[in-house]
Amino acid sequence: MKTYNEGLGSRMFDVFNYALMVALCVIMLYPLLNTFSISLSDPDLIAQGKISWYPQGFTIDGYSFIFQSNDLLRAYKNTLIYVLVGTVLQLLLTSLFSYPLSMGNFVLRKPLTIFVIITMVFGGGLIPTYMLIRNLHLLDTLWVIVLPGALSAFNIIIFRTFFQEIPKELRESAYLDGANDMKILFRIYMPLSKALLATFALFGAVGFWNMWFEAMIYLNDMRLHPIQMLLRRMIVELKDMNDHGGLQRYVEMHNVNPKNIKMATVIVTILPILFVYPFVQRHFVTGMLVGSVKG
Amino acid sequence: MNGNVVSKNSFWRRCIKQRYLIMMVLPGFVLMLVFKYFPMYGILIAFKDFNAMDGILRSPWAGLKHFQAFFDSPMSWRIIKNTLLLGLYSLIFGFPAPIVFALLLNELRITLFKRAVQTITYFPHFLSTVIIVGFVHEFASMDGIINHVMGWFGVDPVPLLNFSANFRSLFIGSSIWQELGWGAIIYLAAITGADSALYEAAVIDGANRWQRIRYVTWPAIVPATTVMLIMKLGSILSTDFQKVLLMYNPNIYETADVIETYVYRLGIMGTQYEYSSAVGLMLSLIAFVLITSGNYISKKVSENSLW
Repeated sequence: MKTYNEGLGSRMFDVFNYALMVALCVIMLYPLLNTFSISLSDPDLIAQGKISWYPQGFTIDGYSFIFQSNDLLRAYKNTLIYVLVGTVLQLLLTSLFSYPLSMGNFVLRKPLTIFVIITMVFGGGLIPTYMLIRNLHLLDTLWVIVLPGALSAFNIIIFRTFFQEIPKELRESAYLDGANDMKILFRIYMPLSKALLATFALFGAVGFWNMWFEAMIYLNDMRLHPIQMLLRRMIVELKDMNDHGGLQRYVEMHNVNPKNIKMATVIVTILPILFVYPFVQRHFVTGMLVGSVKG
Repeated sequence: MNGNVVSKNSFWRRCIKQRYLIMMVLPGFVLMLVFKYFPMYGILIAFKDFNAMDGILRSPWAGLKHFQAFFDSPMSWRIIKNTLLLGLYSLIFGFPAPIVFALLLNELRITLFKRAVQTITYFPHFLSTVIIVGFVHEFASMDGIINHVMGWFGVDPVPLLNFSANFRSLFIGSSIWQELGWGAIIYLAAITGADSALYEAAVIDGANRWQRIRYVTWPAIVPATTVMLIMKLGSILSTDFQKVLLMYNPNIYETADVIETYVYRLGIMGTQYEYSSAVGLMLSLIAFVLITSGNYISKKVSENSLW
């Protein structure tokens, strides 16, 4: 890289480029740091609009409020269940479905591939899906969150392509040893696909962690709501409060500033993702590329 | 005749032989049949006068009554226009941003710095829509940072999300904020694929920085750009309506209400199932045509396609 001859223009471009990148990082980080700071700051200073990059007039009232209320803990527990059950089901069902499709001599390979691809371009839409789920009496159950999205055409095609890359000699010699296909999938194919499974587990987990719309339309019982729905309620309701001057009343009633509570909830919602993110970033990037190059 | 019998036999024999494989696809098959195909049958309701006692099949036919009603309604033009404009502006502003970002990122020479920028800019992609919209509400409020900055120029603070003129900028701006870094990954990968011998040759030939970007880096990402553009054009109508639902309020329906939010309000909140299914069906049909033609063109132009 040092072999490039550096003109003045080139060096000016560098200065500009680095400055721009720093500015971008600042813009990316500000909302997060601002949220963090407000969650830990004194309500009076928040009201005066003095909090930007770091907490002032340190207080943990917001956090102690949310950890004492059952709402947050329950929503957190619900989210963990949805993430866990949803992700495991997704990986399991997708693997089971894709393995036979990856075999050239599977009888139903052609019809099933078409069956899958049709779902890629056409769907029933919001209302017919909603009516179906209501008629199946799946409203207010765990299943409505984890089952409808468990299989996606996109994931199946990527899994199938990945399984096709595994040398079929492995499978054939396992047949000779008396193994059936179920065993081959779980003992040979899945262990060989660890990278793929890890990547899709991560994407699946983030997806279920961030899910809220399905919860809004399918779960009327607030006790089943995930953390994102709790957050949504806070954001929408607190906005109304701001507009109608109800803020002051709330502060007096609970002795805590709702902004402290709201921002503290945002922080505890982001925290798990923030903690694992640096370690798994690489996997996400590979996954993103696998997804876009697939054939 | 004889051959037919044999092939039939061998089909069933193969099925029996592959019974484990068939058992493996069964759960997924049933799930997709129920959750993906059954709703397609449910679309029939758009052509019916639905009566819950009779069910979808036995309810009387209504022809195209609900479609007619939609086009007669004063709402139809507004939500079609909003959907199109939101998609179009998202494309115009949202599409080039990650490309420019990837090109600039590629010019950074301190690897550690480059990696730090990547780590920071990828992160917002993993935040939920609820949190992103929470930020928007916060920053667009009376005492939010946007009003604060506007104050320096003598503009009086207003609740920005209560004015329809601001909706699209806030919607698209926050989307770019969230996806800028993540969207650049695919272009960065394409740049990495560029032959480093080409760069060396360009340097020896005395190409300056700009010329290297223009004649070596840019051609490397043109194929990826073409495919992405075609795909984006195909999905121009698929606005992130969940985000719209979180952001809008009745004051700004004028610009914010899109087809899917309208369907949601009428269908799920207002229980007008037939009418809202009809509106949803029209959207699906147009989207279907756009996506398949996008895929077709992409297949022609390059090796890449969705299927």
